[in-house]
Amino acid sequence: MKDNYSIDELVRQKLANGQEQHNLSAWANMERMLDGKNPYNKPEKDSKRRWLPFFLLFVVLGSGVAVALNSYTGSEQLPISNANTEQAASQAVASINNQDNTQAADVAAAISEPTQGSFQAQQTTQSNTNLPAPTAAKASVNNTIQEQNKQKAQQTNLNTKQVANNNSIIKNSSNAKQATNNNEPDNSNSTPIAAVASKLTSTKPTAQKSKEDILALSTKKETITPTAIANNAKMDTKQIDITALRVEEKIVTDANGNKSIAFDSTEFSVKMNVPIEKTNPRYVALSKKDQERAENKTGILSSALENLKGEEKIVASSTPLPQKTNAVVPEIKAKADVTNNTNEKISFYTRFKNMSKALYQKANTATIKIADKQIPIYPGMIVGVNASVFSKHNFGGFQGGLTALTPLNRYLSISTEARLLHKNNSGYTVNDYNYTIKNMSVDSNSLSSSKIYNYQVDSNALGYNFKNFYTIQMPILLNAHVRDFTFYGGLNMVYGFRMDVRTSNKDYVVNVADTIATNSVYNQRANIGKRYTRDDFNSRFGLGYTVGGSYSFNPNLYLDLRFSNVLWDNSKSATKQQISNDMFQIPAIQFSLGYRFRKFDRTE
Amino acid sequence: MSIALSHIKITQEDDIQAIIEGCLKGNRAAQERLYKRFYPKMMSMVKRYTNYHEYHLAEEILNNGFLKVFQKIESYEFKGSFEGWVRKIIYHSIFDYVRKNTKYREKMVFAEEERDVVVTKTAIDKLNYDELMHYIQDLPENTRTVFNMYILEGFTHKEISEKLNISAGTSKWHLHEGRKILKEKINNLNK
Repeated sequence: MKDNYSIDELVRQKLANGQEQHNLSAWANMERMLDGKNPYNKPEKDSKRRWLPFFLLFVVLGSGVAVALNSYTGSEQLPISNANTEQAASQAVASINNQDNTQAADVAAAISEPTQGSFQAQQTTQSNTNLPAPTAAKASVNNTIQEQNKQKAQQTNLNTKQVANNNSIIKNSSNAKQATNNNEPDNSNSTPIAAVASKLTSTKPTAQKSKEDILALSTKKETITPTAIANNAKMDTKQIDITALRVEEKIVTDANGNKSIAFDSTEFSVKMNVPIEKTNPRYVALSKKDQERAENKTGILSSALENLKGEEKIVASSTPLPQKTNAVVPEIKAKADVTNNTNEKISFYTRFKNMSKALYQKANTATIKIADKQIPIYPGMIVGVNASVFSKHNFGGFQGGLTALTPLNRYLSISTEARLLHKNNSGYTVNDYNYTIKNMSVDSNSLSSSKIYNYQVDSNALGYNFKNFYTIQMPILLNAHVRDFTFYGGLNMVYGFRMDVRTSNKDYVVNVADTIATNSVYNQRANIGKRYTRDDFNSRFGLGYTVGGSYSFNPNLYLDLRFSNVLWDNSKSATKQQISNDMFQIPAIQFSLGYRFRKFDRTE
Repeated sequence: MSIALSHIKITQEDDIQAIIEGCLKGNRAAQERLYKRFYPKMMSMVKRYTNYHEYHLAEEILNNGFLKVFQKIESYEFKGSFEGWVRKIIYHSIFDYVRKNTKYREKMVFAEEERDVVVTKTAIDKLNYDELMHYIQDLPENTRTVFNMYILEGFTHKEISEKLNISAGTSKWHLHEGRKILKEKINNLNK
């Protein structure tokens, strides 16, 4: 007898004339077909294409978001109420400065001699002359008379006095110049007058100012840039009111003939143009309260300003307070009120739009600190399709995610991503066969030199199937940029989510007979248990690589094509590893459209 | 004895004649008799081309084939075996499914791999119809098709390549792969 048989012959012998048992339902279905009905639910062929509408929807939504965010590029900024306030104030100040220039000439003419006295007023003219910024000493002046300002805030006659005392200021300033020559309160040569005056005068020795200096200041037309500001760029200015104190020194003789010095102080307002340090990075926008306080340093309430009439002029300025000045403060409040009120009425769409704007601006200015350097980050998003290659099953689908790129130099950069991949199962099924021997008997009598082992085998076939599965890929890539092309490669970390498997079960009973020669050694058949469990389809983490390239249409938009593969994963059991080999550790290609929120221009 | 057998044979032929005539008239009972008469063999053929878990698919393919048999029965000219004629139509139904649902990748086969694969007698003795059918159904889809066409239907590699639009080398590869897998499973059964 032959010991070996061709498998072809075996198959032909066993199956060529094979017959199946009748199935009652088969004829029933056949009858329905003969009646013109289709009893078989067509498999949803579109299941493979069911992902297509979702993918298209995802592409449309993503494009819409990208376009909406892209429309916010560049110049638009969030509103800042202080800036508008300053702008309004500057406009008001400009209107002041543009008034009657002849008055400036009159004031300048009055300052004809070096002045004496404890305090030299620095007077503004109507031209574009800008006096130096208030110094620390002047601030101290304001502080010392703060309480007096509050009490005298309602004195509208102050202005009248200031005008009347204009000449006396000029005369007294010369005395102040002599008395405060060194501006040292503990100067042994200084008089009490000088000591008091030194507290009231600026740190800059005003006494040193000559007549020529004063004339020069009064007639100077161009804007004087304060020396405190480093850059000489043209700056916006705003006009503020400073309360100045004029102290008149009088020698009083009492009844005993003793002479003493009496001081008569009067207040007057000085308008000064102060540069607005908008370009100064140390500039801090004031709160509304502080803004109001800064713009109203005179201590005069806005209601008082409203009551000012045209003839009640501040001494340093012969022009009436503009109505617009009054409107500045109310405008601030009004604007704040509107803003506050508006906030309550802001719709969800507006809030979402503002939030998107803010996020987009953050994305456009995002940086990362490496070795004390702020390196920009270019965030973006991608969407595309994928397909598996070189595998017996086709797992295709789509993906989407977020990206971030950090340039190292002009030609190299590092990027990282978080991509969610959806993959459809096109027919991959895990079959688990198991056998249980129910009955076994040995027949030693039928054949003389052989034994027949009869088995009744309870066979079960368990099939695991799933429609789709999801993975997240997080590659870290090194990019090389050549013109509009980018080539990259790097490590790929992949996390596979748990698969939602469905099982199908079929049981059947098989009778098997083994005929064995009596002298032969025979190993009886044993049960074969199930190999796979649902836990074999649990989540897993893998490592692999990604290589690919992209082409940039413009600094924002690019096409990307890559090849990725998982080389290792953390599957422990042999069955789980088998599943990984069949559907997780398979190479795939991805084709994507990418959009960077921030323009990536390598010429920067 | 031979007279009895010949009598049986004549009776069967008359029976087929009656069934066909009944089907031509649209007689449902005749259709049922024809269906049940050829169901066992035809289903065996169809199952060989489908996966083990796709019983409903096998039934659908078979019924689609029988539907064509009933629709085209008037074209039967009583030349040759009626069973052969039915088998041919059922096979076309199988092949329609195969063509729509399988895709082949080109493979390369070396000459050394073309030789037949053998199994031991012991293994054969242990193997029954159901188990072997199970193994055939468990083959990969493309391999299973080529294997069946070559081994059981008797097509040559050239004919298979023309029908499936693949190269002869791919056909040979699938045949070899099918033999290898079957041998491994049959030998495992022996352990």
